[in-house]
Amino acid sequence: MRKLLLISFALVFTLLQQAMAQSKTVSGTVTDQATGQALPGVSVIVKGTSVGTATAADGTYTLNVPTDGSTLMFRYIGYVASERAIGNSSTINVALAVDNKQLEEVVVTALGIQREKKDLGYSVGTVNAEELTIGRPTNVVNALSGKVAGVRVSSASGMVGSSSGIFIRGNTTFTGSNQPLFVVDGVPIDNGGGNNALQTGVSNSNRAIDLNQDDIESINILKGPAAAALYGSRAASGAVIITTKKGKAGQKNRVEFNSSYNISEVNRFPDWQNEYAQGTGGKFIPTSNVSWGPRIAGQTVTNFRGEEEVLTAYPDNIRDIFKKGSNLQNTVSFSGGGENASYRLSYGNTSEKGILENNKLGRNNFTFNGSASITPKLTSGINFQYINSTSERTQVGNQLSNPFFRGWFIPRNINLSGMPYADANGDQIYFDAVDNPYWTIANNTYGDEVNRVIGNVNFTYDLLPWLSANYRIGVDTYNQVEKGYDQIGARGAANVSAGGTGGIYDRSYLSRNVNSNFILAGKQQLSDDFSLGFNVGNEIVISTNKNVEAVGKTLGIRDLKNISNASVVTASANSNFRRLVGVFADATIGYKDFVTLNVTGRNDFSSTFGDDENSYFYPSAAVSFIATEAFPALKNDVIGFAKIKANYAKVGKEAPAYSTNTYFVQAAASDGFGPSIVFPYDGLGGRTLSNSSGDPNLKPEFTTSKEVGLEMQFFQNRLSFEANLYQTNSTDLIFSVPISSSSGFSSQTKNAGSLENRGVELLLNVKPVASTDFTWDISLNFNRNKSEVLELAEGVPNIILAGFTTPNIRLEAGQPYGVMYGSAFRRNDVGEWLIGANGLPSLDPLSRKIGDTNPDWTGGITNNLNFKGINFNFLVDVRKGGDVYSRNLGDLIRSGSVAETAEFDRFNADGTLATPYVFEGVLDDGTPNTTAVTTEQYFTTLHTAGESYVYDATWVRLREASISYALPTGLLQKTPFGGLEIGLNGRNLLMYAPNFPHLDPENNTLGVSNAQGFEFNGLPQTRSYGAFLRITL
Amino acid sequence: MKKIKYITTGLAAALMLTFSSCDDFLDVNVNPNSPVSAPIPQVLTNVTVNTGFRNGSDLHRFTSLIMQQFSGQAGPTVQTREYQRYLIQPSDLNNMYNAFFAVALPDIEYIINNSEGSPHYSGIAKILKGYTYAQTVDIWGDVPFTEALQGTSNTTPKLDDDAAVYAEVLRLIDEGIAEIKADASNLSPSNNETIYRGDRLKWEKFANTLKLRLFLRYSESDPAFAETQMDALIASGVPLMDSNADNFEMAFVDAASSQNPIHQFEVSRLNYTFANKFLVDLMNSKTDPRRSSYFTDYPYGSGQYVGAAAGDPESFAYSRLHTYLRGPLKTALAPDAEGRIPASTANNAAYTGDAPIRMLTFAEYNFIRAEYALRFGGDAETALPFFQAGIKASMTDAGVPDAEQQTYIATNGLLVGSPAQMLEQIVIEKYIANYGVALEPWNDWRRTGYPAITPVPASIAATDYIPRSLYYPEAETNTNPNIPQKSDMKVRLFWDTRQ
Repeated sequence: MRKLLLISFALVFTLLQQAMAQSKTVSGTVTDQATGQALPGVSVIVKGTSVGTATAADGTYTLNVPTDGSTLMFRYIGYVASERAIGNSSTINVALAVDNKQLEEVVVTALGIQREKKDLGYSVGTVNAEELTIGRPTNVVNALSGKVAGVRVSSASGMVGSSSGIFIRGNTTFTGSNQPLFVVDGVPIDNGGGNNALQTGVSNSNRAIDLNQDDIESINILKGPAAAALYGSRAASGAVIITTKKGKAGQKNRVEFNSSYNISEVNRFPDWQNEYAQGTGGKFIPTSNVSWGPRIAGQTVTNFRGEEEVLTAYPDNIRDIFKKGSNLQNTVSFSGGGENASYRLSYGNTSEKGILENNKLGRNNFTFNGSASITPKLTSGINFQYINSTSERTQVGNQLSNPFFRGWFIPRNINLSGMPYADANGDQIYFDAVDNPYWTIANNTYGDEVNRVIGNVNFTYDLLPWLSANYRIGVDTYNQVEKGYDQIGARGAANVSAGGTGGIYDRSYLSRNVNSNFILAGKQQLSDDFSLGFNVGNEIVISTNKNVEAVGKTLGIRDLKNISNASVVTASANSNFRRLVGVFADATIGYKDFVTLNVTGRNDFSSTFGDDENSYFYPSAAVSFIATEAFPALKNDVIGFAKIKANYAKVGKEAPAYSTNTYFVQAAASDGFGPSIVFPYDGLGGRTLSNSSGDPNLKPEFTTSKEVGLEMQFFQNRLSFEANLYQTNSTDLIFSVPISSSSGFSSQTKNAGSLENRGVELLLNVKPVASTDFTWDISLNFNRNKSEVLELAEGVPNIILAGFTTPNIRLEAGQPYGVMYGSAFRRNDVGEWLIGANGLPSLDPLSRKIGDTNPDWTGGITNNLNFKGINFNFLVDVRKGGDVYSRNLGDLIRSGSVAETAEFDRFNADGTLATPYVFEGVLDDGTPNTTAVTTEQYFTTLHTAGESYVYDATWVRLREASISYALPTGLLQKTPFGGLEIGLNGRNLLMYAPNFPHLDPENNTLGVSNAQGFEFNGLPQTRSYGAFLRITL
Repeated sequence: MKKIKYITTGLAAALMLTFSSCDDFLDVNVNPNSPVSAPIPQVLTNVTVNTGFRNGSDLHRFTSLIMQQFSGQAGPTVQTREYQRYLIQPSDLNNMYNAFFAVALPDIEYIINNSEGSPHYSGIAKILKGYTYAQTVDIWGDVPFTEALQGTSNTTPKLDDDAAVYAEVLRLIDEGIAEIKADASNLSPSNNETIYRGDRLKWEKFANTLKLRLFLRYSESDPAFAETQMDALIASGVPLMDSNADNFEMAFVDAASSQNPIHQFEVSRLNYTFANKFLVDLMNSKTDPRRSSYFTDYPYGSGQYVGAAAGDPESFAYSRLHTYLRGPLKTALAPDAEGRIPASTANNAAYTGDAPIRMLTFAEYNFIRAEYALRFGGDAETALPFFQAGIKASMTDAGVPDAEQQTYIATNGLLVGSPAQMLEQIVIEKYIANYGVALEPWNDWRRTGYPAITPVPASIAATDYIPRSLYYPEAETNTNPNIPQKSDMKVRLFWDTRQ
């Protein structure tokens, strides 16, 4: 296959070579007016004809001019176009001036095709290096929060290395990944791994965390199918196109050093009460994990160790579990370029310490980017990154080994830091049946190491002045080695659910993605009015992953973290292999300067489908119309630019590997309550027909999108805005559809259902001040997305994405994507709670919809102020609405740990329990409830229902801020420094969450999951602040 | 324009070459992790292990809680507590129905259809298919049979009449017996079959005894059928169970994720289950020596046994399940100061967890014979040896020394009173002996009304009756329009005609 491709490409080359013989010529060199550097790729056209060429790498051109040709036009993206009369000249050299307005607005679109932003018929969001590195989070995805309209970043927690999901214009599939494709220098990379298990393990990383933000030049976000159509199958959810920094031809050698140091800490602590001790019913119970005990008044009690102690409140007993974390990032780079070659070489080191002991992440990034002109027609480049990353992490999730399973509401009288957490044997000491937080942090450990290479080599050959062939082959491969250790005596599931016998988990995961890309790119001025640009090519994607793991239980020797220490070892392995071939064409037709039509078509052939369904085609079309160019009369002092755009696109998505068949899987038994049999059983292998059937007729799932938009600039671009309306519809979604078990299968992977998203995006840029000494830029973005699950599958009312019998996050026909279901109180027809004779509400036996996880809208406001070299930049991130199921908040309240549970004195003067609360509702006979209940009864009964754990996550936060000073070049002239900038920066500095008490609402226990808004014993978010330094030599 | 033509031609040629060779390049969707077919010995291992597991899992929890052998505790909304007050909702049954129809039966069917030349495999598979289908009838009544298990070619199988399914079950067992007795078989099960380790004579004894169990099921609905069938079977001289070594039970292993599911549930669901007051009091009243292996005493070491009942306060001051269900103790249990046994890691690790899951025992065989003798032509005298043999078999299984067995039989091992009273004595002893056996105590109660359990108090109960069958699972009624939900759990099976 590959051989055939090479032969066919060779054939194309041969044919093209024959077509190149020409005779009569005008030649010359095109240079940059300011620098004098040669400009390659400038289009040179004989006005009034379709005859044209493009300049070579050294800026020279040679053109055969028809006899009637009198004028040459020179056009180049980012430069002011120029015309020259030919006359009798045989040499015409031109120096083009930079078009400052337009230079900023060249964007990298799908497959690395550079286009002028003003001509685009779809939306692309851009974040450049300066914007990216304001807050200096370790995870580059977090650096996108709030910066691009329609792009929502959702961070799992503030733990070291924890993942962040990125959702572009809502979700387009049910149970598959809704994460966009990540592309680094033309090579799609793996950003997987960010999902967390609900009841075991640590908070995992999404693998884009491996990238060093100091190596990134810009990030372009292709929002949805129209922009990303050429990426095909993998870009239904949009694409994040990352371009790394490179040396430039003719740039003198430069050394740049970037350093930053940030402190991190928990950004919000609950407002605990400190009046009442552990226990229930007002009585002290030394083993109780709730705080409904007696008033703390210096009385002597017998603690859980059987010792007498004076009852005392320890207001910081929970805060003290945390420490200050830190994040040190250093990058040194060397770059430069000669006439024919350029390079950039860098080394980056990140060393992060978490807010809990034993939590850290270290990362080393080595990158090399080089490019060279081998001959005037042939240029080549190489982009290479080697990454080594190691981390250590603590358990998370709904499990007893998570230090914060009950750690947020440790009774006030427990002097946690003042008592030992383990005895001489290392066995833990704790009052509760969960793991002691300090003990689990010290004993239940997890560590991983990732070694990764991302790289590509690429060639561009100028076949004809107007036609070039590009070939790029790239790879992203990494190996992740993990080791989990569960201490003997652990009470929680920890890494392997060893039931207290101690456990070890060894895993090695290999991911490899190879991507080969051939593009024939051409550009022709067809006539005075029409221009044509096109790209034709193919792409081959080969994806492999291999997983090997061993789980050992029942350890013989404490702290011997080797699998040989386990008496029972279960090994498993699996691998996954996919191939995809795509052929595509893209044509851009321009009419004068104001209409641009871009049409694309792509046909994919995916190994994941059967032979009859493995070929699928999908088109896109986008048009932009610049009204102010078409009708110059529209332009005036107020309106400088107006553009209307519209697009339609369809993208097909492939299936998970091996979904077209049904398999005999390794036997097992389990019942959902914990008991399970793992094979081999007693030395015997076993096989069972999978409960899930494949579908040999599986076909691609399709997402179609429609979008219209308006872009305008006013007052010499002091004010501009962009507004987009979009709608995406996904159909024939591939998912595991529940079917009648009586058939022998409980589910079948097939095409079913449909899903819709509609939304509006606004982007507003304002420059209130733009003088020489002082500039102020405000950029405001807004997105409102409404999703609806139109249909799941026949007979399937809902699908549970994650959770428990109650609560859970599910998809339900007619509802937005990801609604929350859980237990609720009994109500009458008008929605009033039905209260029992005891004054308490009772649970409805059926679970109900208790929340909607989708925000009403999200937005961001970036301010950038520049005053004589002082730069002040801050980003306010806003989220309105969207519910979070917060187990932590419910726990804090139901356990009587927080201030509101001590609002009223819990005791009467005579020492009996006070009854300050009356549940609002009616008795069965319709009369209002008047029975007063105690504070404990009130809050504990309230939190028997899942609905009481649901909170509105609305927030406004100062997401990022930095203030910096760049020394004027004049001052630096006598120093070795080419540039010196110092500054202070911070992230998550302030937060206002009006409907969410005590904690930060941004938390996803499941990490990068389609089930968002689900917090089960989550770890806190952090704020960070520090200083940075940038030196150029 | 000529150039463009060349280019187009070349490109077209290139693309055509790409397409024509694509199929081979893309032929990589062959799963390297799991095969599309499997050797039947490996499939049978899964079937027998899952049969044992299923009978100690959901099925056993539902029926032992309904029949007041177990009691659910550990606070409100805990499943065992809900089931015991008859709050068994359709969604609670998804997993169990799945375990029958999506896990066990397709594998059994696969063995039957892929054992050409190996009748010893198809024979065991048919016996197990009969056994398994009979269980589904005993739980739900009408179940899919004729249209079931056809994979994606029929995803909405209709229900078949329960009596008709029973007839098919009996036919399958007969076919199975004939096949396991075949002289030649290319493949024969051995150690890979985890119930009898390939002993075909024991399979034959089990299959015949299973037929007796099923014939007796007709005692109220069609006594004549029951009588003639049992007469004929017994007279035929076919092998029947004749010692505890013939018990249809699956032994488990003392290793992580290989222990029996009753023990595993105790470990993973702390304080969910205790011995029920009804059973404990019943056995206390007879000073039953099996108590010391059935239950832990409370307070520990006192020799007293205290059961929990629905509505009792949340506590662990009760007798817990013990060695008969959880396997022998490796280390002593550590009670707390009040004599309770905390559900601690050490106390849970003290058990081997390898006790068998019992499904049809020699003891039950004897009680079946006793009831047969009592009902059909025999009398108390012919029933008595079987009655006593049943008690002795059960006690031997529970490790009771012979002397204590004799003492017990001297006071409790006689059949006295009216035929109805004698029947009650037989079924009550069968009920005690069938501690740990799923479904059968509930079958006997529905059939005979014994033991006469009192429904949980109305103030607690979710229904005003004891269920006569269970709902169809929610996952099934959602996806299969041919399975309409029952109006309630009062719907009776065809053999449940006692008023």
